[in-house]
Amino acid sequence: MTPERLARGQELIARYPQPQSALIPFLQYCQEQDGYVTLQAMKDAGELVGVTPGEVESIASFYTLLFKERVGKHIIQVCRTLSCSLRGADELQSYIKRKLGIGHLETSADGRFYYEEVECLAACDRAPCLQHNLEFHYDVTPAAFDQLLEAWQTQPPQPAMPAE
Amino acid sequence: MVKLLIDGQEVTVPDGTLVVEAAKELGTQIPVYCYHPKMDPAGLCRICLVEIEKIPKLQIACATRVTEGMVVHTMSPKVAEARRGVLEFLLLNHPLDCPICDKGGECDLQDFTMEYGPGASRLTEPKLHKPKRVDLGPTIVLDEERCILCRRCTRFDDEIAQERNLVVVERGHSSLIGTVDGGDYESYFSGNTTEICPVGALTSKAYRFRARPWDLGHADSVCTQCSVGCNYRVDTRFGKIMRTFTRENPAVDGGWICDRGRYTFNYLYESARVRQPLIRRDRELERATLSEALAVTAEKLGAAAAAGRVGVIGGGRLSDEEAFALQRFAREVLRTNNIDHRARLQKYASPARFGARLTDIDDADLILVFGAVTPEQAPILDLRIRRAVARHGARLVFVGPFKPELAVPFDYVEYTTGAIGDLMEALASGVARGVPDGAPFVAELSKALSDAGKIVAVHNGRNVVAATALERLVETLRGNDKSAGILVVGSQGNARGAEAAGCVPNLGPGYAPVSNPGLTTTEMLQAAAAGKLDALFIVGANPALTFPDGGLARKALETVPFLAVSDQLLTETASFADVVFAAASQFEKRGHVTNLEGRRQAFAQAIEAPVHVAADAAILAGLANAMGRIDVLFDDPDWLFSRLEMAEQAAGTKEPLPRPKLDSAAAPQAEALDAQRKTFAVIPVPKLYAGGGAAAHDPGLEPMRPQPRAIFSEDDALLLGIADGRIVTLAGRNGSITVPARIDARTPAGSVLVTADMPDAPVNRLLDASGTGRVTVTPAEARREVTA
Repeated sequence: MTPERLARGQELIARYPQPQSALIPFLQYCQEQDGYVTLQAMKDAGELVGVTPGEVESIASFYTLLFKERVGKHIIQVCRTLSCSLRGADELQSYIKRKLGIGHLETSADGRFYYEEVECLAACDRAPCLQHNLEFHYDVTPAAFDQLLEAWQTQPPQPAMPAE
Repeated sequence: MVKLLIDGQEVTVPDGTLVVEAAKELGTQIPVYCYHPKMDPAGLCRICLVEIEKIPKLQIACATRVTEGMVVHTMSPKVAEARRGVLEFLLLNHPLDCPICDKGGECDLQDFTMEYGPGASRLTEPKLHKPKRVDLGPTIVLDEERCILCRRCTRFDDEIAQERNLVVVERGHSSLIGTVDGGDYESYFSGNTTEICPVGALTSKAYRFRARPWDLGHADSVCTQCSVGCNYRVDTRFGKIMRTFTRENPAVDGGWICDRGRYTFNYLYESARVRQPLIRRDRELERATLSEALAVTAEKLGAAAAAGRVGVIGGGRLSDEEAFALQRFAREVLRTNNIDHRARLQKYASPARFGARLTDIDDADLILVFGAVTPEQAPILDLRIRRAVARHGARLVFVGPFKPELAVPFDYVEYTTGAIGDLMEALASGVARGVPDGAPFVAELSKALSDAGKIVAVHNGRNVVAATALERLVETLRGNDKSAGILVVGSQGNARGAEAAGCVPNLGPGYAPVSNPGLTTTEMLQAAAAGKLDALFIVGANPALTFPDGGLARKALETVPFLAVSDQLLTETASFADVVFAAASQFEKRGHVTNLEGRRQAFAQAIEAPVHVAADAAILAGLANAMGRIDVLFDDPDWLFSRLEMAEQAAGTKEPLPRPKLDSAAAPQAEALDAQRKTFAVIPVPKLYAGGGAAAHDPGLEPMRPQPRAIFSEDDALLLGIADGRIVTLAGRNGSITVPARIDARTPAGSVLVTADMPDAPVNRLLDASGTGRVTVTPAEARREVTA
């Protein structure tokens, strides 16, 4: 473990009554640095909070905001649950996939876009919902997606993790 | 106690009992998948739903505890409907490949579906497909499609093994059983997960596609790979062993066996197996008949015995009956007390007094392990320690020359091999006087011993000074109204049985002292090397690899004019022999073995021995007959067992048991560190899958076999200028070995940890008879690049 990583880990542990509570924030920190949760990060995390790398894997693979391999800078997640489906999510999904030339769980060749279909984003009132990094976009139609895409061409991507 | 009604029948069970267990009392089987009596309830699979009056919804019997006056229905129409529904969901994406599934015939999914399930699926969509052949590691293949995610396996790895490497990854319907980054699931206990898997998801590589359960024959056997003596069942087909399966004995194994025990049987079918007696003619070992081998051996042993120049080594691999026969052969036929089963560092196999039971570990407050590396030498004993520490809050103190990797937290006290006696003395007097003194950890440990209510000490039987001090310590503790006892981990499966049957130079069966003690193994080897013995007979022992002073062992085997060896495999020792007898394995005979706590257990014969292979009892009886002593030995296990019991009764030995004779090499001396680091002290490290016999030749163990290593501390590696992985040559008193170096901060300064009992790099080239040695370390020349 690098000294910086260790220092950050200890700082995170100090915030909680239980060291294990620091596991997810620490993985988020590692992901910010490496682009994804590396095997080394899982080993470091386990050592830091006192669990096995296997237990870290179990947790890291559970959450959709933790990635086990390198993904695009723009992370696009579209809801595939009932309310969004009823309001045109299926059409939106096929449009995005065609437009970006990638499928579910894939990253575009230029490394810019990552696309994923996820379970309910808890925005049923304004379905279909699309999550771009940490930002929600509501009532997304294919045309609205084109506009978003255009905006992203010039905007630097939002951080994939919440700021401190 | 709580009284309740289950299906109209009244039952009274202790408070806190689960409904599923209460039903068992009445013989009512409630179907379960995720529930396992050895593990905490998980409530995952829902198949155990039952109707409880006054509770509107159905409840899971595996996680509901009984209450007074509870009325439970396990077979009502509501329950039947719920079960049918649960099964329909569990089978929704199940591949229904029962005809090619190893579990077919003993599968809970199959059985409960037959009993409670729907006849057909209503799913019209295509089934969800998942990976069908996931290589989970050296022992297991996982079929994700068959998995119902009951998590018995991951909970076993967590709650029982305390290792937590096998986990559930992903979530929801994507959930899979897995490991970190898809790596190997490596555990000494991995095979148990294939047994507790209620479906055909976890399959054993050794048993995959080999047989159907209904075609198997069964024999109740006892594992002899270590001295714990776990009970298991040997499953056979067409006279060959297909697999082994747990056969729970709560007092010994608690229903689990380790992978070394589970998978060590395919060596029987390997080319190294001695399938016919061999006689050395013109320097080569050639095949011979049993009668030829008996005749040659009888003549040579007879002549050597007449001159009083004969020795017998062995017993720890034999059954109790055969160990008795071996000492009787030595004493009655060869007329010598030169018999010893100890061909390793271990000097005695039983505590002279205050013996503990394995179950004493379960509720101990303090477990003191010294010298024995329990996960490597007695895995199922280690499993008990893990549970006691993790679940019952026992404190584990490990005293040894290096800090081992243990699955549960422990306190480590470093001692050099020679100093452990002093430590035990200090503890014994500290506790006896009630005023602990000496080093801080001695004071602290003395206090911990005084505070604990129940103490179990686990020893490796190598250091008699320490053992005697330990007995004094336990005596004091018992005097203070504490429960305390000692377990000695044996070096061979039946070391304790051999000791009790009289395979030691000064004690006959039942520890009856003999008038004229013979030579110990060390003394026999010294005498043979000096040309003072005419013949050696070695039965089921491999001193060339396992005797600490390998130089002495090899010189003795080379020098002795006649060497007869009886073994299952052509071992390092057998390759020196003039006659090799083809001995039956434990699976090919019946008898008893005695485990480390002194429990004598019967094992049944599972398969027939190959045509020219004979049980050691038959070989010994044959030799006695060939030497004209037709009334001394018979090969019938029942006859031998009755004679052994009679001899034990006649001896009537009471505790404290007399100690087996020791030789001058017995006590390792404390050695000063070489401050210059010109030489390093060698510490042999036992490994579960190391060894020269079955372990070296069994193809099932091949993927688990360790690589020999020399492990240094960081500072010493820096001083030597070696990096991790660098090949080094260790040169000692009897030669050298060349192995890769490893760096581990836990290695004591000035020492090198060397994997013990590795045929390619025998550590016994570096040691003396007391098991200590010093080596010089030379890094190998950096290899030149070979270009094509």
